[in-house]
Amino acid sequence: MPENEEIIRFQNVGMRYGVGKEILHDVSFRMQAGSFYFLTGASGAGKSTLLRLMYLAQRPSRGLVTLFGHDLATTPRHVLPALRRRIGVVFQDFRLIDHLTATENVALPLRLAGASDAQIREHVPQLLKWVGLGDHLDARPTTLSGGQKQRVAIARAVIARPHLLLADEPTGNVDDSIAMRLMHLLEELHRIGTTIVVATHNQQLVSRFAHPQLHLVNGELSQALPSPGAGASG
Amino acid sequence: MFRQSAIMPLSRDAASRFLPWLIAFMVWLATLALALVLALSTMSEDWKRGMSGTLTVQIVPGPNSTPVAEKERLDAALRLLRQTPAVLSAEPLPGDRIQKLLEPWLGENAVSGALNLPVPVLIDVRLKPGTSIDAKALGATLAAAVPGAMLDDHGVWLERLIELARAVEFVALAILAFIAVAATATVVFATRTGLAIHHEVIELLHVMGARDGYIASQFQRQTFWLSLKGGLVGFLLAAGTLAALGYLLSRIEAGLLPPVGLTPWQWGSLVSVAVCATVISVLTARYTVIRAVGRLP
Repeated sequence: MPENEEIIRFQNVGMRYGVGKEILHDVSFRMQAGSFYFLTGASGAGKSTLLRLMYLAQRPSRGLVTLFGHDLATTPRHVLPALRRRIGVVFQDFRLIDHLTATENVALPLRLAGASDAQIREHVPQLLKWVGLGDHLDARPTTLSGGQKQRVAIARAVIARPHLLLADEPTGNVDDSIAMRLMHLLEELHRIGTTIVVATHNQQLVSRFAHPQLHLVNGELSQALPSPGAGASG
Repeated sequence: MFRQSAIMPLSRDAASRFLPWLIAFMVWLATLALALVLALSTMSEDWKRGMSGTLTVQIVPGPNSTPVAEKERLDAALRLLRQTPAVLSAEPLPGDRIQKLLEPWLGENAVSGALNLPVPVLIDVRLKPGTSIDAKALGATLAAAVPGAMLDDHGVWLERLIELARAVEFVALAILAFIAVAATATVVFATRTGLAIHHEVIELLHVMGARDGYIASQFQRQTFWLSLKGGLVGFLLAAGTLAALGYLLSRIEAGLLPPVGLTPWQWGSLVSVAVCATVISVLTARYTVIRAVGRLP
């Protein structure tokens, strides 16, 4: 994906579930290819809903969403799977499939993209080793710790080299040292050109990295540049 | 080869355990219903073929009639019939044959033995192929020329029998249609159960970029094997049932029932019930999943 190309554009997006109150109000932002954003805000501010709109699990109630240059309001339904395959998602609750091994879970996006067995055999164990799970290739999620599950989830999200990686509280279930390791892993991916959005309510973590923030307060979005001195540990 | 477990463990679902048996039961019923339709259709065709182009003339013996007078009446009837242009042959049925026909109903001694009952003389008339005859007019001429002579073209009897066969055929076809509807509803129910059980994985696959057809193919593959298994069991059960019924029919004295049997082509049609059940099940599963997944954003 060429740098400076617009990956996401939200314009006056509003979101409500059913007839309930609006969760997101007039959200507008643009995101260029190769950027790294933190999506911050208190619990219930609408971070997960905004992410769901970004990975096309939800349609906005109003407003314009453009993804990889496609206006989603006019994009035919049959085009959406190809757009979704360009997005990797790390879910807050991992969403690993319990009866599949770590290898099989990570291989899923490759299978959906039609990769051959040889490609899966080559890339999946390599990536699992890279995230420190080389000894757990055949382990099922139920036998893994929270941090290990998190790493399988990250491996699954990045295995197909997505253009956009969305991570919902990726450090929420792990201790500080593992959280830092995961963040460095995301930094690595950013360095090779992946656009990354990390949703977190952990301001301490955000302050360690020199990346801009999209900050949500009660469904309203504000953008903030990294604070001076940020990124000292990143 | 990279070993890959099924993305959705559909084979462990409760629906996967009962679906083959339900399909087997429905294929069994449908195969029997179709066998009935085919057998009745063959039988009515045979009856029609056997009866068309034949007439029977019956000469009832008169009171105090002598054998000479009977012979004269028979000769007069034969003469008239053989002079009729459409008649190919007119032959009196031999006495021993008439006796054999009556034996099952009246006993061995009814005609020639102690009872010595008077029996009518029967003439078997065959018409030239491709010709038709005004049976009513011929009957009237015959009755005028030979007192006590009656012409029977089997029309009324045949018509009622065929009507009955058609009615039974219609009922069997209706049963077949109901079974098809019930089988489709069963597959819809089983597939919806699977969709409900695995909705989290389905949503995950959808978000990861799986096409609707890919998700449907997971269900289709499972439904195909379950239906094929059920269809095979149902067909084997039906074949066994038909063989047993065939054996029981063959034990019934010949003449009381017409011969009932299925041609190889008809057996092929019966196999197609299981094949159709499998195809309908797979298409139903696909349609159900595509419809459900189509509601996702």
